[in-house]
Amino acid sequence: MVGAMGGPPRFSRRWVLVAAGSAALLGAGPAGGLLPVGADLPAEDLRARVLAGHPPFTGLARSTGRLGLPEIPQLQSTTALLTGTTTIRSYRAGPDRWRVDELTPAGERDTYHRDGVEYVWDFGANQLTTVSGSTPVRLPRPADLDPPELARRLVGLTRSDPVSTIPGRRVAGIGASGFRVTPGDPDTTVARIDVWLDPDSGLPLRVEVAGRTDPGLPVLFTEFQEVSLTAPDDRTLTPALPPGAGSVTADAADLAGALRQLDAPDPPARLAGRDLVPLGDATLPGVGLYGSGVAGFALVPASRGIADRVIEGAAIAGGVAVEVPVGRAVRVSSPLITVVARGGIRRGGRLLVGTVAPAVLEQAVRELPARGRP
Amino acid sequence: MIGVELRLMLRRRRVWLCWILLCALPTLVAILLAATRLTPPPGSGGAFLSAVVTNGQIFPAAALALVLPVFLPITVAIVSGEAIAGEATAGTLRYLLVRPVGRLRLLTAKLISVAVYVLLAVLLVTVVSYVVGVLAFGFGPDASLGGGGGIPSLSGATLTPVDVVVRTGVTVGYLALCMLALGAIGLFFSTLTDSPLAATLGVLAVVVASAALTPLDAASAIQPYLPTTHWLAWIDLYRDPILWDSVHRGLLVEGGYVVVAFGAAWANFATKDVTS
Repeated sequence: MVGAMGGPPRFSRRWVLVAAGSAALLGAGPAGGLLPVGADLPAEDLRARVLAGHPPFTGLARSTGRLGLPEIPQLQSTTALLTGTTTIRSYRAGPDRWRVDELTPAGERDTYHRDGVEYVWDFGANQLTTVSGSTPVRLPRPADLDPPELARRLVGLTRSDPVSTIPGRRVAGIGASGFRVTPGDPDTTVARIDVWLDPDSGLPLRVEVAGRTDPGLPVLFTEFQEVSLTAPDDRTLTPALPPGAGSVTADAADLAGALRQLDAPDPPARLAGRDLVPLGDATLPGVGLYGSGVAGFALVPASRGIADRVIEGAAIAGGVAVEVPVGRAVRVSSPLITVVARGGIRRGGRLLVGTVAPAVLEQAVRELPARGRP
Repeated sequence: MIGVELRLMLRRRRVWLCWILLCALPTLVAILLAATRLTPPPGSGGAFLSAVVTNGQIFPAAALALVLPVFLPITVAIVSGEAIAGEATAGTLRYLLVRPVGRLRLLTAKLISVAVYVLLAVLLVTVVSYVVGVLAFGFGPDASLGGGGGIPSLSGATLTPVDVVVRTGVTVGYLALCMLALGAIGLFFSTLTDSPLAATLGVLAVVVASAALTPLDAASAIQPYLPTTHWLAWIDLYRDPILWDSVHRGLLVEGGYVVVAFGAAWANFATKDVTS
């Protein structure tokens, strides 16, 4: 500041006041970090609490994926979950009564689950879809990235892996206690799974997953921005059909019909040294799961068109060609997920996806029969 | 003083031109949509645009989303950038301050004038687009059942007419505050220079810089404090239940900008040598 009479530069008291006010306003946010974090508690106890389930809650969470996967035709919404930020609003009254909204800047897509039936409201499409039945394998969806749900799934897959206590942190205004799962399988890409939960209620509040390429950098993390341990009311959990909106019904078994049209052979009983995991009675033609825990992968049939487009997209995204006995194949590796696509063969398109080392999927794709039953 | 400033603002042709242009863009969009029935596919285009053809009552929300990113900030930058610098350029600032009027009082009157401008701008866009929307697309499906009903929320549940009025009112107030934050920055810039154009461009530079940083992951630490980060929070008012979290954050940040920018304008203007 220059004095009104042209004297030496000095700060006027008014500027000092404005600077102090600005600093106070700016400091109000980070000051929340000075509040107490959760206590260090035995990791085994915390894992047991996650596995025991969580109380009803209502919360707003944000999930971020940094997996750098290429766009897969017809699966853009799925890859978006793993490569960008997803805002989720969850209302969970129990395992069979919940609603999870995927919030976008200009709309939302809400999934309701009531008594075994799912309803999907899509504002953009102005349509409510009623989905009956279920399949043993399905694609990831926003509801899976809800912190309690993601924690339950990942901790459930790693029950026998070692755990350790990690420092607590403050999440959504709650002092959370944390524990780390370190998967022991040498073939998995997952280096660590960190979970922070409310020590009083046992509700997981934040989950971080890091890959072995850089264990210090989480590549998938989801965290509550705000959460309340109040059960959602019945009106909130009831899907609404506004006047003029469309209403359609779908059967989860339709997916099996679509896969059947691909005329894919049954999955091999063993791939890359891993046994086929039985999927129960409701099998999906050509689909197979191999391995266990977080060292597993899935085999999914794909039309030749889709497989070829994935291969072309993968080449642009830095994919590596894999030598196969028939057709052509490409592998894309992200810090957490490895994808191998095989194409160039009529009715022989396949996708292999898993949290396993690239070498495992490369071996698996080489072992795949060209077509027909193995 | 405040009355004088408001009368001056209302007498300016450029202010009326700004309001007319702000209302003209949504009107043009409504005419084109009504004539062609070609709405953007779901998920693309402006917010709510894909839904307006089924219910004209949604059009005010679509219109606000249309003018918010560019047109509204430009007009706010013009009006606020001119507040003090315009007086200096016209040579009236010296005479204004000769009168027994405190500088703080003059700045307050200018800020109130900008606040009234932004409130009327948002209100005019809302009212005009409601009328245009209903004329072009009707009251929605309920019209055939005996009268105009509500509108569908983003979550599917139908909002009653009372809900719509209340939520739209909150939206108007929220957007007016967002634009007032920009206006306060413009007022501050207007005290730094004698050129209204420079002050206006300064405000637009803030908007462009903020918009460029908002989607950048590397800027995540400062994103909550950027002025444009919270501009679309009002859309959460049309969810069911309302998502207040982002609106609350937006109110705090935009309110903070008003306080800090007005404080800076006061700190600078109170000791400034006025020579023109």
